[in-house]
Amino acid sequence: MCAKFRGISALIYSGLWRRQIFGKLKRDFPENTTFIVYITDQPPAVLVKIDNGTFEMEKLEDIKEITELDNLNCDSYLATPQSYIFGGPAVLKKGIDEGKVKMKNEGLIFRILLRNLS
Amino acid sequence: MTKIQKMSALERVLTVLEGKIPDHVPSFILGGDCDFVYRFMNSPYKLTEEDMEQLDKDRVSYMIPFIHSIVAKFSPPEILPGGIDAKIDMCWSIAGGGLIQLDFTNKILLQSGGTYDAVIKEDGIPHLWYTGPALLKKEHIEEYWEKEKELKPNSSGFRNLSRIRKTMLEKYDIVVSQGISGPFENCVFGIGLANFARFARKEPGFLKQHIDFQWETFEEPSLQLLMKQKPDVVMCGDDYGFNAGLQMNIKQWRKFIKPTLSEYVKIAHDGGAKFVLHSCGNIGEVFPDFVEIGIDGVESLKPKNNDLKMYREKYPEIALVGTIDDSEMLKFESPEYIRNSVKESMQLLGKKGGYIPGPTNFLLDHPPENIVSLFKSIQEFGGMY
Repeated sequence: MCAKFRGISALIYSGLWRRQIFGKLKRDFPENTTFIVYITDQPPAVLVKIDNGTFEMEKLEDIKEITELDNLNCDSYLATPQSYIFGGPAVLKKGIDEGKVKMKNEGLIFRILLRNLS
Repeated sequence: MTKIQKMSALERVLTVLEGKIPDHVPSFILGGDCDFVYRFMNSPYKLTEEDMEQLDKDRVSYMIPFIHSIVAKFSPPEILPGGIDAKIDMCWSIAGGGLIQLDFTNKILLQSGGTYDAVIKEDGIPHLWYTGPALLKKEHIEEYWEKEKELKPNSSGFRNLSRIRKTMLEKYDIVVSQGISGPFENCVFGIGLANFARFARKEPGFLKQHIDFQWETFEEPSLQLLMKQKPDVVMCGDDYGFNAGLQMNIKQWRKFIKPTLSEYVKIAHDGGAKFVLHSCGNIGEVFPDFVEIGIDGVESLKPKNNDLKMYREKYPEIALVGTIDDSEMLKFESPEYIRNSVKESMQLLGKKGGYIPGPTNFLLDHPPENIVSLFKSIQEFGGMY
């Protein structure tokens, strides 16, 4: 079987897909949004574009370092090792202090994670 | 013809599980995965904006695979104006633990220690499921035991189950049976069937220690949290069979699984609930034990693998739930064929009560029209008493 996405990226995709098929995505994201999720020990990063109630996800094979995310045009991003995702917001914030987690627009990222990984 | 529905869905289901005759044969569904949701939402039966406005107002869950929003769509129009009028009386939901991670693997693990993955295929439809055991060596199991604190259940999941159950019952007259995974699945999903068989023969003390660890760490605490919410029907999933019989020797089942399963049943009964077991495959060999430990209903019961007529006659204490073949008939046959088959099943199994028909497993790539035919047929032929 050829999988387009696996792991955390696929979990986020699944959550967005569920909200899209039931017509909830436009309510969640009334304005068009782009965000990147980079699970640093499970590359590649993925770029998500939400536009008028639908979404697209694409792999960003070229991203190798967290620092590269700042050069990309997106509304928000999350870069984290997989294990920090399971600890919830408190562990992610601890990861920021440790330099292992990096976020842009935290509010949007937590909203995406809560709606799509829970 | 005027329909006379004397009982609520809860009264109907409880009447059957108590071995009495209801006003009408009740119906049941486990749920459906993303593939079925995709097919349903692209069919003439799909949820409309008006449907979802009411479902949202009532805070009905859209979670997959329990698909309560789609189950509600089968309601009669007096309950949901856009309803399909193919009433479903009982469905399911479970609370599981969170996902965990262990040092020896970068895979996502379930509370049982099994691997879990979401895969997006080329058609863009997600698939989320258990994908195999992760605790393949003794040292993996011992590392898992060290995660005791992370494996403890969270009460919020059970409070959410309670809200879901009350909403579905009060607003849609649908019973949501609720539970957790059973002791065999929790054990085997984590360590694998080969390890179960090996430890059962060569290191039975170690296997018992693992089963006891899971019972004490999250199974018993989860059941206590569940019973605090006062469910009417507890339904736990524990697949013992494959097509031709049990996955293990019955002596091993009785030694390692039965004692814990009987605790599940006792906790449910002590809390005033009925206990239904979902168990796939040919499980006829353990039916006498099910009677002994007081199980009220057994669900799945694929007809090609189980002698349903014999179960009905020999074990009248146990309600038969499911029995409508999901893997072949509901997938490949026509709505009319399904209607005739349901009629035959009703005649064979439902005459004296003790029968709650529905698909034998989660719906996958089934044509929605076949599922509508199934539940309409149960309505059509279920008023036999």
